[in-house]
Amino acid sequence: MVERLRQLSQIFATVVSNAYLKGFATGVIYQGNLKQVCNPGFNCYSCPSALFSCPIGAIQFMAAYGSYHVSFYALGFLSLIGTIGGRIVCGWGCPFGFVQDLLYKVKLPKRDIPKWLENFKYLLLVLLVFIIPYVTLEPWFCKLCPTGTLEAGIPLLSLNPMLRPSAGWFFMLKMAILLFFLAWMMVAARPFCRTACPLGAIYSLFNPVSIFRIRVDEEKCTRCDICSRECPVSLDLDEIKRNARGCVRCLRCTVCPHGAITFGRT
Amino acid sequence: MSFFKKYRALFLLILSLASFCAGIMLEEPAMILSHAIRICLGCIGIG
Repeated sequence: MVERLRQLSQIFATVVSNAYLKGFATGVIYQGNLKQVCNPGFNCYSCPSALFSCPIGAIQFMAAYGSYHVSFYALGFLSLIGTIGGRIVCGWGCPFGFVQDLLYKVKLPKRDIPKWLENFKYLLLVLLVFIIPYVTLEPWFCKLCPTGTLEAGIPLLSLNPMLRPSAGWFFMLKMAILLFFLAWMMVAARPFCRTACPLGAIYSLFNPVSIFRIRVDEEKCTRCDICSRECPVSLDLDEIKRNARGCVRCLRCTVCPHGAITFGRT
Repeated sequence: MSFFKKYRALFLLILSLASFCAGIMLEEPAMILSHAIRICLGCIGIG
């Protein structure tokens, strides 16, 4: 039931984020006022159908060109969502997370991701989203972002013959990064969210302190480990209990047959 | 439980709202709009 609801929520978020379908017919991106609003999920704002701004793109732009080199607006918006639900958007409202969940359904042998790799996203956040854009005045995360290649690069180069001659080795590098992640998504759950997503990195900091959190009732818990086996990002019971940063809040662990795990207000 | 720990979510909520409102007062949405209405060459891999 939770999983069905989650899929519906992911479809809804993907459709609303990409409701400007005219962009795919014309090859021109949406230029209306809704682009002032940040998308809570990861969705490239150069995608022809994107209605909202990518918060990570906005943070990089403000790091480079803002009056104070900090995007109070985007960071305030993200921390507001994080304070309320932690990484709930990762599990329920991120279009790129939805792509990853779909690709993970491909029937291939599955592999886990080493825990230490999950810290890589914090390095990317600090370097490519804050420091390097500030120093170089270029949005370096965007330049390497596989979401941008999938949602903007491929469609816009397909729709605009004028842009195609400009696609050189850098586009090939972006394609290689995208293909690497797409292949990884088929054998591991949420590899981009877990290792490279700067948006997930920001939200993850709020997991242990958010208003809505996962709660484990010690009295009902029999340590049967069903929750841990259900968890797509391989959290153990103790990590679930302390709302670890790695949790993408898919809430699959709430299938606990003993009713020991709930998600609610603290 | 310390005072801060007890009310940390409330503090964070107030800080987040303050930051968000400060961004609006500094006209960040308009700046973001001016950037976001153009195709990001970095995003599409040609710049």
